[in-house]
Amino acid sequence: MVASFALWMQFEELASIALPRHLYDFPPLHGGAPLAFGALSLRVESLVMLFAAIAACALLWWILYRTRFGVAVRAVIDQPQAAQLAGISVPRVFVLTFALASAIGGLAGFLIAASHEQVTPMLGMWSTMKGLLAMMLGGLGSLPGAVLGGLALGLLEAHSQWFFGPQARDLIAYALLFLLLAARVPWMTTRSAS
Amino acid sequence: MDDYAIGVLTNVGLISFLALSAYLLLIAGEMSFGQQAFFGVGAYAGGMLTAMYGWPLPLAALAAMALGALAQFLVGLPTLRLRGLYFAMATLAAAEMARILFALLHFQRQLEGEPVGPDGTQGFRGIRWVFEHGVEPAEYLGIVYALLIVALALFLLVERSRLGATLRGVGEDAELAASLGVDVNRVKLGVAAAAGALAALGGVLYAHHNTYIEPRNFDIMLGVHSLAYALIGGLGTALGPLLGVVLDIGALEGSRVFQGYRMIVFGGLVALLLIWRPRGLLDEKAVQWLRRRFC
Repeated sequence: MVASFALWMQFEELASIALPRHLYDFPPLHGGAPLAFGALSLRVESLVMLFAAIAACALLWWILYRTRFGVAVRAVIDQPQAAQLAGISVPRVFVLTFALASAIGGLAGFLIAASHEQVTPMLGMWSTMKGLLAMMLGGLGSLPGAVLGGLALGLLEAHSQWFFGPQARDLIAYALLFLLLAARVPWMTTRSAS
Repeated sequence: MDDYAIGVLTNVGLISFLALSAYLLLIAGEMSFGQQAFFGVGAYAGGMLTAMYGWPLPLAALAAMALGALAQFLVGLPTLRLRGLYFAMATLAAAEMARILFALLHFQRQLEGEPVGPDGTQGFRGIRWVFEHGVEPAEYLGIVYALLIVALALFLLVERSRLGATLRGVGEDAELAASLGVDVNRVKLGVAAAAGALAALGGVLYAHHNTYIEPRNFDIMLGVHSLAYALIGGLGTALGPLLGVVLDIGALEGSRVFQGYRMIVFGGLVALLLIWRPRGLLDEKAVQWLRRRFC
């Protein structure tokens, strides 16, 4: 975990050097006006993001639960030694899983940049914290949990920002995580992780 | 010595306190991503006591250490039973909460017609005790290192004692330690309080060295750095974290060889070292080897 923070530090510095300005414009996916559904209006980007997230989840579920590679990944998570003995190359699974996670991260980064229509080298910190929060809230090692955690975090943030302002929004999200961890709610602490 | 050298050396000393507090928790088997919060608690508490209420620095430092110890004790109470990633995330959440609270803290007094005190994201300026009492930068450097040597001497004493063996036992295998009659939770809470006090002491000294602090100073990168210092320096001896700090601030920033690329070099160094030596340069084996050779 420390090593990944160290690597991320490197990437952020590289990005800052390659893109010295604070903000960059990013081409929007769709130039047109927001779609209207009665009184509600919806940006095309948000729809694209929603469908991309659903597609990514479906793909990930299929990979994890319907392919040989997915069986290998789950075996390595539960019992790395037994998986090794059964002939699974643990380092290979690690590298491929890491690559898969990075691909999803890249897709998310593109969608976020496209919907904000700007991009900054400082994106990393923000998205890492959001991702960690959503994942922990939903429970480690559970695909529906991660999605639910992400949606719950989004709803919580939108509402607390509306009622209390942006600083309190982050405070509330962290406080919730801390309290849930301290209370050791069962869905969050069932899986051991290091 | 010129001012720049004194500044770099003082920084090495200040950050060493934080690295030592991360190290103390690592020996007891807990990886905290939140030590920067207690550094911040110390900086804000100490700065407010000297700048707003005219306390002398030594007294303010003691009060800040007590507050840091209490803060980490309270955070530790519900979280120390968590393991690995969960503890890391809980401490990270606590530290980010502390940083946002610093940003929400508006508490000022009128002193000689000027507002003094923390002003949210505008920061907290005018922590001038050191300057007002005629302490030269070189003298301040001396004070910082004298305190650091005291802390190190305590560490080395403890590590040779029964308590040191207990700490490492708890860190190595908490269940085994518990079966030998060690009250693991009590030991860990004690460790948490001591680590909080150490970090707070570093924070007080940091605030009075810089005269200006703001919430951004205490963000997660500070905590990740302090962990990295302890991990690359080594978990075998209390001199390990110091080696880590010297390597980063002393050699990389001090020499200015890599300039803007410092983070890239340091990040790479950390990643490589963690693969090659997961418990740092001065790990337990290296320390034992050195002892046989030279003691």
